[in-house]
Amino acid sequence: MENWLIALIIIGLYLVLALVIGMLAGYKREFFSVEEFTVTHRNMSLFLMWVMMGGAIFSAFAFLGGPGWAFSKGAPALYILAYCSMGLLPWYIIGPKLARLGKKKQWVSLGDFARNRYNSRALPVIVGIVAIFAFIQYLALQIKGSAYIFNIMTEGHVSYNFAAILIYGIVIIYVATGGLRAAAWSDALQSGLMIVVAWGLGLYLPWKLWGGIGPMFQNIAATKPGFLQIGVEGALMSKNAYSTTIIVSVLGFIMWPHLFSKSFVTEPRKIRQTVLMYPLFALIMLPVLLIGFAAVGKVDPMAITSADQILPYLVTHVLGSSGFLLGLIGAGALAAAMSSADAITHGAAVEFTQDVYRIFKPKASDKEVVIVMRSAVVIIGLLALYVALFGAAGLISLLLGAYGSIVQFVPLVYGGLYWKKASKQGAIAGLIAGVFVNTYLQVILKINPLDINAGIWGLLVNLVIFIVISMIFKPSNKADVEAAEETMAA
Amino acid sequence: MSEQAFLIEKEDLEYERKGSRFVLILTVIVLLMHTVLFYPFANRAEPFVMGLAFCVFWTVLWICIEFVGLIVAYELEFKWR
Repeated sequence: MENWLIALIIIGLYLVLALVIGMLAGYKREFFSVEEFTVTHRNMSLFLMWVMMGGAIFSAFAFLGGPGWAFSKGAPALYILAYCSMGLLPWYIIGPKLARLGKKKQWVSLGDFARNRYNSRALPVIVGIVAIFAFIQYLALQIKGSAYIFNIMTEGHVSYNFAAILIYGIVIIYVATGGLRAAAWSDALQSGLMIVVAWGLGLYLPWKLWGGIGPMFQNIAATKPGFLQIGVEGALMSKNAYSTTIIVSVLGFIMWPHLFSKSFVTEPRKIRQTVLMYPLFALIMLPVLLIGFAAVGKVDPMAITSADQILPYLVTHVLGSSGFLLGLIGAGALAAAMSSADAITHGAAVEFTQDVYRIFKPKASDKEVVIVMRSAVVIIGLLALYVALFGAAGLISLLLGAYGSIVQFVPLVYGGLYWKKASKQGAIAGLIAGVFVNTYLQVILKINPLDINAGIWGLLVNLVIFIVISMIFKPSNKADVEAAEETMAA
Repeated sequence: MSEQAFLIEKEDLEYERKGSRFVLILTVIVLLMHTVLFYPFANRAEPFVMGLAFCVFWTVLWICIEFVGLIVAYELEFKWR
């Protein structure tokens, strides 16, 4: 049998399995329960929490961007390990409190928290819109990455467009039918698969190309001075850029609404146990970087059109003779993309319904809300697919601005939880200013002043405005003060 | 179990806050090790440790220390309770 056909069968098997597991998870669950669809009745098991949060960190970026960074930039790629390992630490602190509040007040989303704590209807709508824009960009990246890999591993026999529609179509189906539970169960399969593939490749490729990890690094150090350093002669990233990228990523991690809302899916103690395991998930990223380092000095950068292609290039050129391996690696990479895409699609649908639709139609019944959420999965899914396949440059940069703006939720979340005087006026003004500064620097000027990440500049402006306006417009009426005090006490 | 798991006694809330403070300090230390303190100590390829370039080893080392620190924080908190 031909190589590409074997690869196609294996990837096909994986896709069928993911679909079946996802759909079985949602089978015979209450179809019209908002709590079931959004937060699985707040009693998710520790095992599912682990695979779900682990699956979220491993996206298409892990198999394309990660090795690409190591191959083209060297030591700066370590930022990925640093921020992934630390991204959930803030959750250890705020998670239990949010879980208790969420249980008491029936929260299911980040917008719910914003609406309740600040007693504001405008704030959740702004949060929801920024989040949905960011989500679509994030989704488009997953779709593009997985379609590209599918296309390469089947030697071009499955077209890029068809692959995109097939892969993401499956995600849309199981998320729309099974909600969060389906996403979590399919993540169990996907996490296992991508860990096996990442470690297999990360150990095998350096050994095959260099005879081991030691000789590989020695060769890089000898032939490319500065490549394994940051901010020196020959290095490819400055110290300021490296440090602030890590800081902005650590702060922003749990601000992603699809991760933040996981505060509401289980009990406080299990949140802490989930965070406990997270540094180990980050270590799984180590072999992904080794793959990129293994290519340094072996692959001419001119041979590929972008650094992101280094893993598919290595796999097809070094392991190309085995259709089985091509299929397995393809399935692993698809699993990484899909386990992020399902959580994000679900998160986007919840944000839209809970934080935008419900604000304009507060009297909507549970049944109506669930129908809107399930439809939103399909509609947002199709939008993301459109952006991935035909996205215009202007649209892409708009979405990119939102992508970098997620970290701007930091002041309103921490302020809301720990500062009694934080007010809706302050939160709204700060958020808008932060998003504006970040987007203006990142998308329009395309600069990072002093090499400091645009998100940090936005955050500084955001924080100052948030504090100053909150001091001027304190929570004054009775409802505002009560909401603030209740949040502080939990 | 589920209803109980969301309730917390006043005393335990104090312990939870202590645990949080411990992790906050851990977060700051590890973040410094990956950023400001990375440059003077670990911004180099040599020596190689277990085959890894030193900067890679340093990053992995602090991930492991972070893991141990979290376990200590968690154990302490529930021992106090």
